[in-house]
Amino acid sequence: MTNPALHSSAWLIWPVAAPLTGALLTFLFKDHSRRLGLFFAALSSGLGTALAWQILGHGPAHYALGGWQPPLGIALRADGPAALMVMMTAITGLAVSIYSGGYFQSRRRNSKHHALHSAQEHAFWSLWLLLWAALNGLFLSNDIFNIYVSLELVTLSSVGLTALSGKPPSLVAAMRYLLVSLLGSLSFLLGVGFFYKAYGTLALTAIINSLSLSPPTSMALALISIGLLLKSALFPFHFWLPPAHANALTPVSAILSGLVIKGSWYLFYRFWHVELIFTAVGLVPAILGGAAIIWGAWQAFAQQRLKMLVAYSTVAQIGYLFVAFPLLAETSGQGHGALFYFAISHSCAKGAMFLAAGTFFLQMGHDRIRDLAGVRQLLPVSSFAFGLAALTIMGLPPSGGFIAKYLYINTAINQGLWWLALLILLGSGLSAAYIFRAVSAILSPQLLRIRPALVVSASMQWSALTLALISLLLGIIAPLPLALLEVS
Amino acid sequence: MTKGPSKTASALKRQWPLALLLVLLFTALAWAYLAPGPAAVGLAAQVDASLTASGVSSRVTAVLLNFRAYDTLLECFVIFLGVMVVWSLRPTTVTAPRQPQAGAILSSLERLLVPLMVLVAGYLLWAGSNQAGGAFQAGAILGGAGVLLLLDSSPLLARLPKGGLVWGICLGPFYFLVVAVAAMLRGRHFLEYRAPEATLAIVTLEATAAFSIGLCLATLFAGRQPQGKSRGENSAHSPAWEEDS
Repeated sequence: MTNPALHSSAWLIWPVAAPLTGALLTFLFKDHSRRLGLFFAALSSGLGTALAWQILGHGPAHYALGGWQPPLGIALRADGPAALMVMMTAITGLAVSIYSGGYFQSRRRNSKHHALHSAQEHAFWSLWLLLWAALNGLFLSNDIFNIYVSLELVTLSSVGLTALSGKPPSLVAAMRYLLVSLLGSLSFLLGVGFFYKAYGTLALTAIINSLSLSPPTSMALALISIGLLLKSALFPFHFWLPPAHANALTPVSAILSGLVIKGSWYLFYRFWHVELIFTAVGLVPAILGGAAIIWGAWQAFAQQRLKMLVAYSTVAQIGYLFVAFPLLAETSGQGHGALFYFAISHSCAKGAMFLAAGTFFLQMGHDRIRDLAGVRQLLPVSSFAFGLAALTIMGLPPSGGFIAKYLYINTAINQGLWWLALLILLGSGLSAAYIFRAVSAILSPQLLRIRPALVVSASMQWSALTLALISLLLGIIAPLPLALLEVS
Repeated sequence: MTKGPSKTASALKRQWPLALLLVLLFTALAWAYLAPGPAAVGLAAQVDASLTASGVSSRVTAVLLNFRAYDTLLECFVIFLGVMVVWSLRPTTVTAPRQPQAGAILSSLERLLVPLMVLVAGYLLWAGSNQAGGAFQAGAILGGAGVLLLLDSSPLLARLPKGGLVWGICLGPFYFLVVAVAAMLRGRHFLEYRAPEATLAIVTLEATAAFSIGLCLATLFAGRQPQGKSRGENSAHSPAWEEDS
């Protein structure tokens, strides 16, 4: 049952246990929630990085919780893809946390409603740390029922974070998100039941390795896939995403777009990267992904508000995450590289973009694209961050997005999937169009007539820039993440 | 007599696509369930083989609090998260109509039932070690007792220590984490405990979890965080989101 190449490592539990503790403590000590929150964010980020480092050095690891080996107990498992996801969460999560420190402080300072903003910040830190723990738990778990429990934690905390701003549109969006997500969870759980009946184990690797398609197992896969697609907001299940992501508080938008959708997408990958399935229905996610790329870009181009534009851009980018599934059939592993490279670059770049957009919003009091001219004068660092992140989203060299799209097109051509290569080129052109609309407003040479006082803090501007720089850097240090991904 | 059935008939007419979809889904599920495929024996034999090491004689409790205790740990956090999310929602400007004064029947019922419910919860907790029962069942009954107290706005509630609610809600998940990490400090795995000391660990885990679950459920019934006198929330009357970003 257990693979001799796996070594047991207690490092696997800490990226889950540390933020869980942080969530409890920030909830208990209301007056210190920012300091505690930042401390546990740094700790969780460090532990996630340490785990990735360990996996890179020593190969894949597992950890039997409670000392019970599967199938009786639950095991965590960290291979290359899992470690890369934990690492991605560590980097984006830390940047968002630093941003949040400044964000809530600035909002409090510039408002009469001190008690309200304190209450929001208090709730934010505990919900966000719990979400962080749940995401790490999701990436590392090797037990499908435990994955369901982690998914529930991810969903509920995301819904709470979405509703946190209290604006009517975000409450409506949060409710819609909750209903769609619960439907997805139930579908997933039903699939778990079918799998357990068929294989008598809940261990994911054991199930995937002995998978054979028969009516019950096909039904299980279909139910799990539909549940995960609902949660990942792949076209045509995307309808809840733009209002939820665009109307949330800014750090929440960055978390939802940068990290949360990657959780369900990653699980989809876990269930689907079996050759057996590609030959059967591998084209279905690819076709939906292609539709998402075009529809999302089109909608993004039509938006009047910057945060809505960025949210629709996420709809399009989710398409890229699914369009590559036929590429995974290739044995060279380049398809996996393309997929994961896209995921991590998108996480950093989209996070940076939302953070910068939220900084404009807080400074200007609105995010209407046509009235943003002159903002670069006030917020040069944030404007620069937005521009750099745009490079990755468009896929221009030397960004991480460029590496991902290069790998996509290369693999597609090697496999003779010309339509896929063309689709990706078309998608890049479309994303350039809507990104250019936003960037041309932000970087326009027009000057502000009145120069209002700066209300945003330096940490908000610089954390977004750091994240954007990392998304750019990913284009230069490509061998390192790809080496981590190879560990399996 | 004429109105009811015709209303349902028109509703049925409008919703027939949904009904058709559900019938199709049910048929597909039933077909997949009954169709031939790999069928495994399940894990009952393995559970029985390890039962003596688990510290309890009930299979369900052994699975929930030893073999798969990590799931239960996360489930405790799910309930805690529910309270956190409800408390994070901003109080609306719409105020609920004032509850009429609770009658004599409710208060005498409460005096009669609440002590009994606490007793039953304690019994269920204890019974969990060798038969059906355990933290979630006991917690549900405690929660029910809490709801009764809330309905009557019992003076008992006012006597609770200040800030005690928050600590009480966190107690279950927090103790779970402490037990889990304490095992690691003794050179074992996360959440690893074996007979004979496992019995003590499981009973205390269940007791604290039941206490917190009961508090969480009653708190969820109350709807929002009880406001201390020192922290005036001015947001209740001003829709402050208008200035938000």
